Amino acid sequence: MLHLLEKIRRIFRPSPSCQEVNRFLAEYIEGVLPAETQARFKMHLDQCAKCKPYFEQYLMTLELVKEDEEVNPPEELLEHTIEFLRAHLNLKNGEDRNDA
Amino acid sequence: MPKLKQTQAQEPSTKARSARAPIDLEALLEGDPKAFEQLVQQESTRLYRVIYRIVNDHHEAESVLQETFLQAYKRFHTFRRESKVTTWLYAIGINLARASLRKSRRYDTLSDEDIERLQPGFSRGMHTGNYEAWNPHKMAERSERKRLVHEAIRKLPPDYRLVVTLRDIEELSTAEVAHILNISDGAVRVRLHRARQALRSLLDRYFRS
Repeated sequence: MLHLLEKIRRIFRPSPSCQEVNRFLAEYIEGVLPAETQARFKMHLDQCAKCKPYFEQYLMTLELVKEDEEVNPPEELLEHTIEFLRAHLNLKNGEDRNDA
Repeated sequence: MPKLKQTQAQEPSTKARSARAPIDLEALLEGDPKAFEQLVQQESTRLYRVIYRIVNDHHEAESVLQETFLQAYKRFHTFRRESKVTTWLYAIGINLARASLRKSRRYDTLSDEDIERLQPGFSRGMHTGNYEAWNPHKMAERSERKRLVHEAIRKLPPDYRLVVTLRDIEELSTAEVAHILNISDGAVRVRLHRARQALRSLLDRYFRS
């Protein structure tokens, strides 16, 4: 009986608003919301005329951000870093481990 | 144009977990030079990219990177094993990079008020804005698209840029980012969401039909 009441309650539960869905978009994308909430959000995002294109733009933004690989470290980065550390740690070896 | 994905992996992606020879943690914490050099070799490039995105200067980024490893070596005895050693290393690097940025005053970014303005509006729970799919022709030119995205990311305030860098570009997990920044998982997601929405809004100006 309780099980049936819960089922009825779920059917008649109002759909989440655009604002509620928007607030938890990061959680939704990461898949950390409870399964039922995840499903209700998905239904809203599939059907809402405002949220659907907004969500597509949001996802597209994520994909574009992932493309951003403009930062190219200098070729000699590793060599310079290891040289720097060898020189520095050799000079101060011993006291370094104790004075931090 | 990039492919539209419906979901983002919950676990750190292959970028964050690329195949690497495991470092002998005990040897590293004992100050073994070979283990330390292995850490430097494995983490330099990615850590450099993160630091650069904070300080926005190649020379300074290299200097901060070197100082990060030096500090880490001196402080291995303070590592409490509550996180991965790389997470701990990133926290050191990011703190040094933030300090460098504060000192240099190389700020040319949006304010918190700007970020607020770039969030979507709602009335009675419904979106007030109208949205439509971006124009594929405007997004087709790869180099121009990348330039616009890079510039939009660069405009974000440092704390927002950092969370986008760690989570969306370097693809660390939410838990790792939370540990590095010493904030909760929820706070990471809130900041990330606001940053993404601000970026969406900035890009909308270029890509709308």
